[in-house]
Parts: sequence; C-alpha cells; structure tokens
Amino acid sequence: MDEKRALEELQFIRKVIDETRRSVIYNGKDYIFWGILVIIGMMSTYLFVINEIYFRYGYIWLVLIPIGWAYSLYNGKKQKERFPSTFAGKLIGYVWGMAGIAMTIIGFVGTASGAVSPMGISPIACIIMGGAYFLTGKLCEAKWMSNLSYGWWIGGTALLFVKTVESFLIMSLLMLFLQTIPGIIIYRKYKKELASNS
Amino acid sequence: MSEFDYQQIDDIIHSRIRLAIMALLISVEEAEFNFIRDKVNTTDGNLSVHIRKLEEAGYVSVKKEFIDRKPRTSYALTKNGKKAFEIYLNQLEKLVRK
Repeated sequence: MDEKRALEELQFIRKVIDETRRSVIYNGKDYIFWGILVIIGMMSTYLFVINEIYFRYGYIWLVLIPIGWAYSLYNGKKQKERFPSTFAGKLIGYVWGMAGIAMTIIGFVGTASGAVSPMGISPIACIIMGGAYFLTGKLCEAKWMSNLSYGWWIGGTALLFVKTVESFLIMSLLMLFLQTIPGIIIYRKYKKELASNS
Repeated sequence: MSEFDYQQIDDIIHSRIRLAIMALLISVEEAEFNFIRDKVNTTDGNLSVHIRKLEEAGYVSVKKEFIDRKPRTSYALTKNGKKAFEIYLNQLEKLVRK
C-alpha cells in the first residue's frame, strides 16, 4: 500500500464516520402526539373561557403534559431498540429534552410562583420551540425544518402582543401548521424509507 | 514500530466493506443488520460474509433478539475491534506522514 492509497483509506473512513454520525432515523410520532395534545389543551381552554366555565385551567395541563412526557419516553425507547443511537440523533434528543424541561418549568413553576403570567407561557414556548426546530434542522441537514423556526419566532413575537383569549386559537394554529403537519411529513418519509429498505 | 511496515497492516480490516463496517460501528454503540447494509451499500449475502470474518477475528460482537416478535440482529465493536481499528488508523497515518 502506498501513501496515496493510505490517504484514500483515511478519507474513506472519515466519510463513513461523518455520514454515520450525521444520520438520523426519526419517526416524527412525538411531533404529532405533542401537536395534538397541545391543540386539545389550547382549544379546551379557549372553549371553557368563551363559554364562561371557570376553574383553574392549569389542571388541564397537569393531565396533558405528563401524558406527553410518558409518550415521548416510550417512543424514545422504541426508537432506541430499533435504530442505532447516532451522534446527531443523541444531540436532537438532548435539544428536545432541554426544550421540554424548560417549557414544563416555565408552564408549571413559572405560573405557580407568579413570575410568569399564564398568557406569557405560549409566546415563551414558541420562542423555545423555534430554537429547538432551528437546531434540529441544522443537525438533520433539513433546511425546511430550520425554516420552521422562523414561523415559531414570528408567532411567539405576535403572541407577546395578543393578551386575549384568541391567543389560544393562534397557538393551536401554530401547533397544527408548525408541529403536527411537519410531524406527519416526517412520519410519511420514515414509512417510505422503511418500505424501501425492507 | 518506528517505521511503517506494510506486513503489519491488519488484513481483516483491510478490505473496503470490512473497513466501512468498522468505521460505521465505531460511530455508534451498536447497529442493526439492515442499517449497516444500507449505509455500506451492499447486499445481505455480502454483508453476512464480511461481518462473519470480523466476528471470527473477535472484532465484532453479535446480539440476536426478538422485538415485537420480529427477529433483530445487531452488531457492535468489541474491545479488541476498537483496538485493532485504532492500530489500523495509526498505521495509515504513519504511511501518509512517511
């Protein structure tokens, strides 16, 4: 083996390692599940308010958020059993884990302590979601996903000015178009890939 | 080893497909057969032959299990495999620097 061949081998090894580390196989079910869950929470709050049914709306989230976390943990475990945990995949898991923890603390502790107004949760959540989508898109090398972050940031900024009950409707729309539908796209892509590999 | 000696190149690793398998497995904790096959871009039969060679050399360990009643075969680099890959890389680097 000469120097040229050795260099080619090293470049080949680097290429395989880089491609493997970057590869992410994700089914998108979390996106769909959380999207639907938050839409249910937002729409039910909206309907209770406009129908003047008053109670502590935080209880709705006290039920929905643990369901979401339980599903995410279950889905993560299933994914881990089925596919190798790559570097990019792990980083994406950390990004969404961090975003989820941040939003849960702001939503529950922030409002319970009075430091965050209940109407402030949605815009803050949107801004965090924007960051999570931006990083996910970069790590997956999926420009369309990174571009979703602009939608989240614009939506979050708009929600900072909407302090009425309509903010629940806006947040529901954001969750539908920037979370649930992208989740469906990822899921369909995943199914297609699985079918072509089997 | 002060100078590069081509005879010390590990023949087990020194094949394109086996090298690709080793490089892939060094990047993950473990990988399923189909994942390796797709990444390495080879056929089931070819991959089986090369993986068996790596297994026989003690570089790769195999885990067979059933998940949701479906068989799943996954592979991981052993301690010896990691060491051999490291040595192989060092030898290539020495040759390049020569």
